[in-house]
Amino acid sequence: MIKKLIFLLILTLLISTTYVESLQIGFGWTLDTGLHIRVNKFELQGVFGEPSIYGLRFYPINKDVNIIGKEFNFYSGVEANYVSSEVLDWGYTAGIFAGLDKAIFKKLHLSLDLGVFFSTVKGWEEFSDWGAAINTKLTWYIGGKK
Amino acid sequence: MKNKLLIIIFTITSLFFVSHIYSFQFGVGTRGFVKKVIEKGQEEGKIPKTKEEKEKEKGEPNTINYTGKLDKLDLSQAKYLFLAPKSTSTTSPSPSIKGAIYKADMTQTEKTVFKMKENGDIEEVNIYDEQGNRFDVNVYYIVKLSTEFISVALEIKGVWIVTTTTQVVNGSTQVVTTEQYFPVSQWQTSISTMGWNYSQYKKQYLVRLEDGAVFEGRYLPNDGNKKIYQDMYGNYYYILAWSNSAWWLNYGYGTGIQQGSLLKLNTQNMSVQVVSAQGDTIPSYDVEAFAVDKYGNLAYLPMIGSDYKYRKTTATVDGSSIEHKGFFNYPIGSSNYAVVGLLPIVDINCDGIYFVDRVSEGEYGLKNLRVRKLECNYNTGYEIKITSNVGSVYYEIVNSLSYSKILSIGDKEISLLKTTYGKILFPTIDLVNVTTSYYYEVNYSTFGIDYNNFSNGFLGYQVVSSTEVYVLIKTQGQGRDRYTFYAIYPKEERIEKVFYTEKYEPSKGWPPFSVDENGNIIITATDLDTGTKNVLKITPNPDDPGNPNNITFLQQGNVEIYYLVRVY
Repeated sequence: MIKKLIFLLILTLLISTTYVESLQIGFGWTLDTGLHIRVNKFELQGVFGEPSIYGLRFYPINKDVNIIGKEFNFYSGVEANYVSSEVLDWGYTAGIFAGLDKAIFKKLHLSLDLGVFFSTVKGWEEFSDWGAAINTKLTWYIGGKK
Repeated sequence: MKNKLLIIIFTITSLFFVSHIYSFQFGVGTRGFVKKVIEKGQEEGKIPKTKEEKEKEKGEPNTINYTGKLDKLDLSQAKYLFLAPKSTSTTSPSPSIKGAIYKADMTQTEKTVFKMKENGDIEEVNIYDEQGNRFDVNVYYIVKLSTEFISVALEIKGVWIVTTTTQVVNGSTQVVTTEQYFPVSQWQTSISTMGWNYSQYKKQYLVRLEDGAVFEGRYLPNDGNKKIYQDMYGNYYYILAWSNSAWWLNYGYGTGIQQGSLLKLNTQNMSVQVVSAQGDTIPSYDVEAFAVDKYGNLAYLPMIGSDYKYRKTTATVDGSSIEHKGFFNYPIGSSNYAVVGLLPIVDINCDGIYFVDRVSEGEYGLKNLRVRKLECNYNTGYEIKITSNVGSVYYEIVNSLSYSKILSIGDKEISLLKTTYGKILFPTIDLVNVTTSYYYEVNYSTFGIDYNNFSNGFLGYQVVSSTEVYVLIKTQGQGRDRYTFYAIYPKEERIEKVFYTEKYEPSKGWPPFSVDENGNIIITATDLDTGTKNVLKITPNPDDPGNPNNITFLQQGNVEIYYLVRVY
């Protein structure tokens, strides 16, 4: 059900925003079998499987940087997700991340970031832990500057 | 350059976090990280490993197959036991210490057993089944039978099931224990096998104080019993009385043993036997009209105005085959007037049963007292001898002997305490010389109480020993009421003021206070300065009765105590 909703949401946003050139809009695929849609500094994401996560990324920092003679976009932000699993009553995860973004073909961008996350899940009891995650995404921008 | 610096700072910061966190999960993707967290939780037994496991857990509350029974009360280090609400309430009326078995009020707050330990600490008494699972209960009363047993009535509300799992954490095996609560409505036994029978979880139990062992039973002593005798073989004798607080017990009696029957509880095989004659009901007023000596011989008045009934007992030396023989009637005194038999009583050592009745002689009516003693045991057989005809006793003593407190009974004399409207009487009846050998009385005015208002000033008494009695008196103090304890020594014709206070107000009830084995006064009282309810231990101090240092606090706070039972 949630997957269908996200699919419909992405489709609706794609259609409606194609005509809005002022917005920076992108959609794409994450490394660990997920989909996302980017609108300016916000990004809705859904990563499917067991468990699944559904959440929002916020990118307040975006800087152009030159590394070894090549141009990259440095970005950093925060992320919060709801965790859905057949062995959980509920779960949440949130964290901060920072990474680099590079256009690899026209408006197709590849990004790689490292984040520090905290997660709390409830099965029989509540359980919390820290950790780190690497996220890689392919995003196709259809509007805005990119 | 600036951007490179940002990247370096971020990387170093990340490394700093990594080295300072207790547990660290790394994932490819946020989902990968969450997956690692879940796996970690599963290792620690906090998260089900499969969907099936989770669904099973969800389904358990309605299908738990539980047939556990009460097995043990944790009475370790208990000095006093008392009932108190499960959760502290400051709005209910203040209760009182009731000695052993009296209920303070009719509030329906759920209560449980607490223990006061030697060091004054108070803990809730845990009640377990054979597997060590803990029960949630509502306790109605605690009755002290002796230093060996108490009787309780309670309703089981639920159980915390203990689950122990073994897990490997960091290479070492650890045992993890968790508790899960199941109310009785979720026990499969209550639903599937018997239908929904709510009353099946309301029961009576006998509790052995030595180890807290619990024995389920019916017709056990309850909070309606005023007298419980014990013979030398460990059997207890009491009337099947109406319970004051466990009302559901009274309905249960309807199809069983008749109310007012005299029962014997055998603690060797935990059986209850009716030892009064079929159809006899023993009246109960201030005192129940029966007596049992230490051999198990018993006597009672089946009803007011009828003859005494007594029953000889035979027993082996070890009491293993105690047997109650047939019934005998013994006529009470007769006269031209309607004569009411007085209560059979036993002496302080329970060596024999005394029939005390009054006989009318001459034209002046009820002026004479006759005492007869039933002596029988397995050595001597039994006999009834007319010990004495006592003449010239005070009319009011004869007329109300049944309501007197017996301080001591011996072969030669009976010492009594009786309270009247104007005074406290301490007569001693000389059985040898057939007269009132000794008489001492204390007028309430001695304590500063108005004769016309004595019931508000004389709050009660407790017998400390056969030669010492404490009384509690309320008088007008310096702006507040003053509560004063006096010690009366009737044989010495002496009265001492042993303690007084205007700071604490004793809780209402009867008896208003208890006395411990060292002669200290135990009382529940409200601190009028702070409003807190306290359990006080007062050390009598005739030299400085107003000294606050005479008080030791057994408990301070808002816990409302309903019964206090000394368990040593």
